[in-house]
Amino acid sequence: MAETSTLPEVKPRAEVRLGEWLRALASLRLTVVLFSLSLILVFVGTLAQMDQSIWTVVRDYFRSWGVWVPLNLFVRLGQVFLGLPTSMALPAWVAFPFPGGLTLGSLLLVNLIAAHLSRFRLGWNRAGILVAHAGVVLLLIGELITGLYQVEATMSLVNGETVNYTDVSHECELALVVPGGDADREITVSERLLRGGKRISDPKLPVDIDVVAYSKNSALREGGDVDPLTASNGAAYTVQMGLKESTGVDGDADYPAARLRFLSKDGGQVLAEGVFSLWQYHNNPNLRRAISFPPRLLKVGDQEFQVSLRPRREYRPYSLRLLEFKHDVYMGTQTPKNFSSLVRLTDPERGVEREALIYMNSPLRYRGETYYQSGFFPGDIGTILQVVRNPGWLLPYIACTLVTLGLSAHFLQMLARFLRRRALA
Amino acid sequence: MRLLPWLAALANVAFFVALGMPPRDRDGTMHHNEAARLPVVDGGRVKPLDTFARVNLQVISVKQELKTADGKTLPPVAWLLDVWSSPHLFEGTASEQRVFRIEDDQLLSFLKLEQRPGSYRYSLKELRPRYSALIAEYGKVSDKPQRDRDAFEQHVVELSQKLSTYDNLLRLERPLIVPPQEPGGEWQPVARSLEAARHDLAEFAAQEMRRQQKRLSPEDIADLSGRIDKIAREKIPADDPARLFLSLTRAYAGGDVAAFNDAIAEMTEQARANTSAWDFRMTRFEAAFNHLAPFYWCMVVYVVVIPVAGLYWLTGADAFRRTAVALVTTTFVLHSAALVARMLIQWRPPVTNLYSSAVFIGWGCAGLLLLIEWLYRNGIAVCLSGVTGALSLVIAHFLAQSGDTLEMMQAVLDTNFWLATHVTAVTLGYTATFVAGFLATAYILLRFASPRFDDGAAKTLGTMTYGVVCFATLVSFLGTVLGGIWADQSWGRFWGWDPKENGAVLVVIWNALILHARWGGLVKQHGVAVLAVFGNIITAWSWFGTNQLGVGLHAYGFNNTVAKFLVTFVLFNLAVMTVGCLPRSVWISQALRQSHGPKARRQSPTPVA
Repeated sequence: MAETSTLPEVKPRAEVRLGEWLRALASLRLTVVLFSLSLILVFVGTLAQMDQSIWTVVRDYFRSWGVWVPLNLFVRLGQVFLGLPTSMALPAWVAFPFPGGLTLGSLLLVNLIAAHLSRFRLGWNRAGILVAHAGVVLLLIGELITGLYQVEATMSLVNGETVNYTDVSHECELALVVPGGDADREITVSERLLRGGKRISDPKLPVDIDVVAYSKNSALREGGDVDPLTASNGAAYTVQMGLKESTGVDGDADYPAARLRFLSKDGGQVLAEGVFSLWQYHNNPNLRRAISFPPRLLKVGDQEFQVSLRPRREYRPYSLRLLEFKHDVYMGTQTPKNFSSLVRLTDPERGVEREALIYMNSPLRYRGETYYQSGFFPGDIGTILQVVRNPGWLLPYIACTLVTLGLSAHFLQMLARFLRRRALA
Repeated sequence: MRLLPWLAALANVAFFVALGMPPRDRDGTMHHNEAARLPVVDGGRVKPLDTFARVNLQVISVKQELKTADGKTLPPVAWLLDVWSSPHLFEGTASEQRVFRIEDDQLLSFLKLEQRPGSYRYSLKELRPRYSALIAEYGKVSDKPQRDRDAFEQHVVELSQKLSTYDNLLRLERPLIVPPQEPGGEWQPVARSLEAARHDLAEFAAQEMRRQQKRLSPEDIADLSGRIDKIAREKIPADDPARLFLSLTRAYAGGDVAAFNDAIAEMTEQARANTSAWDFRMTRFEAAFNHLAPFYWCMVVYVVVIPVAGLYWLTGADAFRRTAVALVTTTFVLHSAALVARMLIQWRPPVTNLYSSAVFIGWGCAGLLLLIEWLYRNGIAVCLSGVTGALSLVIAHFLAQSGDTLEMMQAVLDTNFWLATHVTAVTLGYTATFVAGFLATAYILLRFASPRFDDGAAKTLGTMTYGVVCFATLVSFLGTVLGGIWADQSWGRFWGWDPKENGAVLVVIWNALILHARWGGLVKQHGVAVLAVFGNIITAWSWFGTNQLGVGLHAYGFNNTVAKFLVTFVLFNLAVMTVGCLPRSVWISQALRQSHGPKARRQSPTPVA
């Protein structure tokens, strides 16, 4: 490294202080403390998934600077393992503050870099550790990039259908669409505004919207008399609002719902009121087009709009057409053995026109996005693809290779040294 | 004395060979063993009838063998043939066999049955008087989510599920036993051939009931469908392939040896024509595997190793140590062969479900510790290989109770590449962490209690523990990230923070923490041991605890006994850690050493490496 003695402008006292700071940041004691804290964070973050959706937990625990951990988690742990009565519960405010994943991750990163800066020595017996640590740095950065930039969505297609948009997961929007109009003229209201529960007024909107009620999750019930919805199969349904968040497992997702009142722009005259829920969306992965609901129309003056609550929609400059969906089961059972979707990819911008087969563990990667086989519609009439955009997707691969090589090299060296010493003894 | 290890090895091999001799059917008797080898299709794969019978008997009675009233042991296939001989739930030999295991006091008093400690098993005839009441109770509680059911309700549901499994057998819905009649056709259950006749008869019975305005209890329905099936079986057309099966059960019920053996031979021939040569050979191999029950006998010998190693510690005679090594080595060979056999039958890497992970961890622990014993020859590692081998096979034994341990894989898991790399590496990581934890447990307990365990011996054991922690860090990291890469390949998410992934990363962090604490001088040999014991708790949490939470993509199922076992294991390890934290002045070993003086030291059988 640079010899500081040849740089006269560095004042010795400042250098000492910097060195002290660096040494403190680089201490292995700090590493061990951070490891312990990470251990606890991961543990409570696992427990929290008993009551909250995995998405909420990831946001609150692992991608946050700090989190209030409710003590009730340990009561829940006791219920599972020690047979505490299920009725027992502590109020949510009995909680302790804890550093979140971002805090611990960045501190670990600082600690690691400082350690290499202050104790940097190049030599064969340190090479393994150096490479492994470089891999860890990449891994942490990769997870950070994923947290910041990864977008997950789905694309649903029935046989023969062509689609050029994706449904972004865990985000929704209210859309006002002129039937038959093109995508550019769609007007959307983001979920954030709906969650605010106030009047939404915007020059782009043809109406003002009062959010009477909003809930993060809702259920679809058969029958009912408040605003019954008639489905394609003739049955009547109602949307039940105010449901607990789902845990996010087994394809279990949240279905936001809002009761909205549409008012005319000029006089505030009530044009319509109704409950809008993601349940009514035609690509709803739970109903899988077994039932669908007719479009809800809103008349403003002489213009008609189709109003719906739908997952946030992203249009693509290319499209996929489902040629064939296949689904095999093990003989004599309902256990799926394999799913595959044969699609035709058309990209007029780049003049691409080709077929691709997407199946389990074999995704299609195109223009920074990856399409995975995820689900299907009953009767094998169509497929559901998971669409992921993650600019950092390659980092974990590199990181893992580095760490594995580094650790293997280091431990093999140690083993060799150990065996040599044994042979001498 | 010097020959003891060789004799032990020889005896052990002879024991396994004797157990493994394929059973032969005697002339002039019904060929039960040939029936056990008959290929059938169930759960998506071709398997011997023996496996099918075993798994179902296991589900109903929590045992793979049946003790009859006169104390004889009935093989699973004989029990299944008994069940098939009479289609009536409460009639025939099978209805008198005590197979339904009921332990719960409340449920027993509800069923008006006496307690039968030890066996806990009851026959259908005994259940009959309260059968309708039980089904009515089931109707009330079955809609409740499992979380909200109390113990009694849960036991009602479990017993009803066992009854339904039994009814499935009785109605010949499973297995698929009639081979395809034309190329490319499908295997069918006998029930398919009964459908038409059954339908007509049930229609007739329903009309009759309406006319008489009778309401049927669950017991009446069981009785009626038994009688309907009896007639329906006779009405199967002569050209239907299922007739062959009926001639088998009829011969069995009537004790017609020749007809039974003819039917089995013909069914085997038909099955052979409709399965690939490999599948056919594998079903026969699997039946032989079941007969040997290798993991059970490995467990028994691993247990025997523990006192043998103990004798070495008491007497200091190296012959005992070498005997223990000989026993573990020969058992380990059978354990490995049995793992390979499972891989061949399934055509899969070793770990495919929780059961096989237990078998694999047992294998890994025993093997790794055996290797360490070869390196250090101190009698501790070999004893621990007995302990860990036995313990994990006991766990496997309990896990096998839920069904076929060679089940087919869900589509996303249907990839030998990732099963072979990620799953194997993660399981090896668990194995290594357990080995480090058990070595550290031995370290702490010996240091605390044994005056002969001097500083030199302690240093040796400390080095072993440290080395294994290094290995554990490497493999558990590799396994965890390979899982991430698989996840990225199959659903585009490298890391999902789901409970099982978190469990795996906890193991990695903990091992890394031990290494960094040691490198930073925060702990030395003794501290590493205390920390490594906590590794046991973390690994147990990752392996089993996360499944208990009932969340996550990886959760394989909830089990109450697992929770109890886990709590006990955690408490034991915490106790060991507490002992590890006691100051030297209160160690029993110190007190003993002072009272015995240096004499005890000289007798130490532990060579210092």
